[in-house]
Amino acid sequence: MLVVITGGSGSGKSKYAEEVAVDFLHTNFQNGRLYYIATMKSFDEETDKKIARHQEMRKGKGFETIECPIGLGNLKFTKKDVVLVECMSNLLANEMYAKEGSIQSRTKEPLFFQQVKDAIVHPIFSLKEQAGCVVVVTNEVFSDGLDYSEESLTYIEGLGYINQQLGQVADEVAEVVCGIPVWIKKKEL
Amino acid sequence: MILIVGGANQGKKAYVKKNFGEDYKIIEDYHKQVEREWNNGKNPIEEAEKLLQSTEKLVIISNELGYGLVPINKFEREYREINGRVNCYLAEQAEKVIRVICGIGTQIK
Repeated sequence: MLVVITGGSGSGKSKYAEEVAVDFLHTNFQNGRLYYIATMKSFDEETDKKIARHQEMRKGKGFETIECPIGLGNLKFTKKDVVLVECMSNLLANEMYAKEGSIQSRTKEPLFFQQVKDAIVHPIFSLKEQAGCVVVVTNEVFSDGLDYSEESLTYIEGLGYINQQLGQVADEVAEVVCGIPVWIKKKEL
Repeated sequence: MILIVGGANQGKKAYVKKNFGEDYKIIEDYHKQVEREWNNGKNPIEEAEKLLQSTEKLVIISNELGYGLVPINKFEREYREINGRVNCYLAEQAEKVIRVICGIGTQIK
């Protein structure tokens, strides 16, 4: 089971994604485990605040946090695990810009997309096979003009590529608008 | 209260004019109000709470922001985030939420 939750900034997508993960666990597993894959790196006061806000939001919901700013492919899970990955935009930025990141290509060439696939798309597909349910949070960064540097445009294209790849194989996809899920793809019950 | 959201230039005001009669108090461009409050060091969520104490039937129109890369400018970065949070709060309190795209309204709550 793969659920993709997207939305703009401040849309309430993270809170909703947590709800989806917690609900799935409680509906499907008596003694399953709930994991939170945290991708944001601490840089400054602002990122610390953001991280603290998210920690506070998920407090008491039963998540075990795994810090994973890069190298998603190294994680291993079992069929009784529910895994929330928060979020694709940070993961892509880390893989592209962190010193140890594995996406070195900076232009919209096949090599770039191959590296994005290897670093992020395939690891998510693998998580989908391993875990009972994977909930992925991603970001809508595509509707605010394209007045960005060539490098930023490559980043946007990379994130769009990830979203499309995940959307294709996902069981469910929702865009969260003002905290409300608008389903783009929904599993038939 | 009824909340109308959508991107810029989507026909939100025309939609409201067409669908809501004179017994509603219409508040346009609420995202600009949020910007002023944030600029003046106020807490826009608390200000929204105060607004909702009104006994009038409100229709609040607000833009959706935050559909691009995170801005380099700190104020812009914080403003779009807080505007999103205010919209989440208003949506939670609203009896109806309608999202307008290309002039077409879809009730999402």
